[in-house]
Amino acid sequence: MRKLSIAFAIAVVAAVMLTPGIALANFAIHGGYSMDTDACAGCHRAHTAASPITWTNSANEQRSALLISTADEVYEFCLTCHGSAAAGAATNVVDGVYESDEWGDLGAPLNSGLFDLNNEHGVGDSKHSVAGSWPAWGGGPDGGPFPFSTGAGPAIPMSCTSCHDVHGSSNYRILKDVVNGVRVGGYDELVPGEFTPTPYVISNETNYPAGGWLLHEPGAAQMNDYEPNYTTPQYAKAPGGDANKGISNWCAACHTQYVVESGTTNVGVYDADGYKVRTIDPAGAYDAADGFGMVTRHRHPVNVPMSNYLGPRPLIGNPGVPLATDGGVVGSDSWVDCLTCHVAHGSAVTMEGYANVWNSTDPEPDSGNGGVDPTQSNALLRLDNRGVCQECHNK
Amino acid sequence: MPKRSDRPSTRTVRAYRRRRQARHIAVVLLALLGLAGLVPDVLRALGGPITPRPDAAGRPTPPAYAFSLPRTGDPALLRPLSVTVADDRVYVGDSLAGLVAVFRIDGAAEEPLGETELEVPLYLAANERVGELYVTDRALSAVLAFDLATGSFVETITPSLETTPVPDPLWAPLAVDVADDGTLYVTDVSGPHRVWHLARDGEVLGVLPRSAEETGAPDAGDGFDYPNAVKALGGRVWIADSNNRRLVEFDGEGEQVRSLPLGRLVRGFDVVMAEPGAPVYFALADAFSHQVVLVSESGSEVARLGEPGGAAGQLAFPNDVAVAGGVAWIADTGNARVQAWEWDGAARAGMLTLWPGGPGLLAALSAFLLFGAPLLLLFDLRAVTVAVSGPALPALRDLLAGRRARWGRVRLVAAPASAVVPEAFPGLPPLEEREISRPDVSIVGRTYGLDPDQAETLTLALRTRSLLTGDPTLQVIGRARGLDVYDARSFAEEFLLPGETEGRRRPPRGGRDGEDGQDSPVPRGT
Repeated sequence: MRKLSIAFAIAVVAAVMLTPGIALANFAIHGGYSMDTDACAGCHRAHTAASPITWTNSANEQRSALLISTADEVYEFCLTCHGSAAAGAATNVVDGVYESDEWGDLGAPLNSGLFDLNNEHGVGDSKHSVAGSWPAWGGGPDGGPFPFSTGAGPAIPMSCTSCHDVHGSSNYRILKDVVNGVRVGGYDELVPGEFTPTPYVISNETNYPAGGWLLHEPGAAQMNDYEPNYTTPQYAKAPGGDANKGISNWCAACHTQYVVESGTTNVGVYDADGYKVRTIDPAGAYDAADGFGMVTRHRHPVNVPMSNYLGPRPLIGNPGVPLATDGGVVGSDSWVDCLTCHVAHGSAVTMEGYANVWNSTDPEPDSGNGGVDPTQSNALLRLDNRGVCQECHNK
Repeated sequence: MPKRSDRPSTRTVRAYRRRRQARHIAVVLLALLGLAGLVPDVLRALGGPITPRPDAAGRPTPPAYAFSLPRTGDPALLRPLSVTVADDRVYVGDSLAGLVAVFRIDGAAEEPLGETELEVPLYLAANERVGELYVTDRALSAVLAFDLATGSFVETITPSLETTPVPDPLWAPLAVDVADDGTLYVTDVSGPHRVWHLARDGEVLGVLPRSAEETGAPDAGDGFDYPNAVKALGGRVWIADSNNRRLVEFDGEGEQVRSLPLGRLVRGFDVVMAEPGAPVYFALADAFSHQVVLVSESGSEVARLGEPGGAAGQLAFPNDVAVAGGVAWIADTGNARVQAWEWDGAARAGMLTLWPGGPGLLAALSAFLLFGAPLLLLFDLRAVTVAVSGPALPALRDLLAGRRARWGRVRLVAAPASAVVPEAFPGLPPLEEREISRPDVSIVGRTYGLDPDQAETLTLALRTRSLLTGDPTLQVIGRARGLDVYDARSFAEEFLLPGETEGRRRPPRGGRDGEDGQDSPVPRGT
């Protein structure tokens, strides 16, 4: 019996030693770390890091990310797996193509669009930057500094890690829990030592943890069960139906004004923990750098059900504009949010006619540079021209 | 009893000869050193393969950085993701350029292949016996075959529908290798990641890991997560299970032999053996540690190649490595180049042709030494300029009377005040007058208590470093200043009558020298 016990113990030890450190089909290196993981040292050096890549601390200052290598842009790390060769992941974000048929359709467009870093697909500047810094349209309290409004707030350092947390997060697609200094997810320590996720963004995909991603081994177990779909959006409403969360409020961490109602603006203040929070100015005006100046702005509602619309016929949901749903069933209670009309990474759709205007105060068709002011791009829309409007409004 | 004047003359000649001898030895040594740097090339030229040299423990010693491709002036690589070697050509899969770049083994670029057929080429493998190169393409989801000799596209290889053991033969090939028998192993990341064993015509010979139905066991083994490389050699198959950070070995029957945890994000790798049958080592391209690591079959680390960075010998996101002919070719993807790391200088065959377009320091040094040695010889054979004092010329003329002097190496120069009428010395070459600095002459004269003629001659000699004079005072001062000092006889022996004076270079003690009596006695010391 004792011999059997020893043999069993040896077998267990051998099995543990021969098991790979990480074997996560969905998340690879992105989370679910054990407390004795070696994964940190795979990318970081605490005292001898040579890379100039930075992250943003709570004082909005750039601090070293302590990365190995002399790479000066974090996307170089990301594209090692997610590049056009997609040698380490099927999600080829450069060309916006899913390169497998395991969690989507082989060769199908990614839900997120494409960065087209090699300028092969006509995206041009219609993408979120992966390097440098860029103002977020609708960012800031008033549209920009006097005398020339940019229609945006201060420039924000941009990279893959401006939006994604490579280490995992409480949110869908490892979207960060703190963006631009705004808390948009995270973990509450209700019981000392126990961290409960408080996500802003979740999904209806099979076995997606609606409560958010747990830390450590429990999180790894969630990841093993999870069946993502990278080519068919299955967006969910905000956790608990909280209209102050969801992807729209996540995006509003930078695009501050786009989630507030007509006639109001968001003004940023900081909470006791140093995070930015939004405070509504009920009489706020905003300069969108479109020639109309500092005037009251009106915005399409988000995080509202389709049934809110009172028109001659109800709004409809079409696959071209994925709605946020409860359990994946599109209905009148489905929400419209940012991702209903826009993709996150980049878009190659074209804008013509009135969708291509240089000066909105003098809307001459096809006078623009591929869109309307102030972006003069396709604004990451999903469909040509204003096809996204027609998908629901069906005029 | 020898004259006192013999000793300085002999000593001067000997000193001169010792210096010349030292120069010749230096030339020979430098040339040998330069040649030593090319010894591996000689071995290579003789056809002997240079293999990774094992150390005392039988482990391969680490290679040294040699040079990078492409050479200056050759088309740039954009995103070199993979590399393989066949028929003395280095093939580089450039995923961004959409082609396979081709280089000669010495680094010279040749016409790329697949420009019209490929979109995003990934990994490569060659079968030299049938003359084909196989390229996986991520965008085309295909394996394409090219003719090695012509570079032309042959056909696309796909698993046969009739023989495939899985219901959905959709595939997304990632890595490829050729087994000894010409069959192909192709990793596939379309669905559950797997490895296809294919005949050249696409007939499916097997799939790894084997299914539960096939093995009869409930657990058919661990699945793969982005198998970025496969190597088939001697009936064994190794797979770099990249995201699972391990190497997995199968036998020829498809049975998993072992799973070797690496703790590294290994992309491409190659098998390193000092000789057939020797222990197997692996050269692993670790993309995130920006190194290539040599490990043993047990996973113990033997050596690391490179470090993060963009300088020579540094790596950025290396994605593949191929070991052939004593050279580890590394796809230095982040730096858009391919690096050659050599064992025993094997890659240096191309260094001289590469220089100065970016060879390693050793190569440049070898070339410098080889070119420098003849330059030193030329320096030694150059014409000697000798400052001469007028009174020495009659003795020299009398010494050379009736003899055939060789003036080719010697030029005689004199200060204007010392110039003599050439016609007075038939048989001697014309003296060249050299202007000298009057203040210098004045200082030299005051320093050594010389008359103006002596001061002019010594000042000129201090510039030429050689002095022909019969003046014992100038001889002493000249030697004290480190000049080559000759009297008429020693000058003639050294430069003008070498054949005649051969037997007299080492006069016996007590023998007579300078018996022509034309030289003035040279006092020792001043």
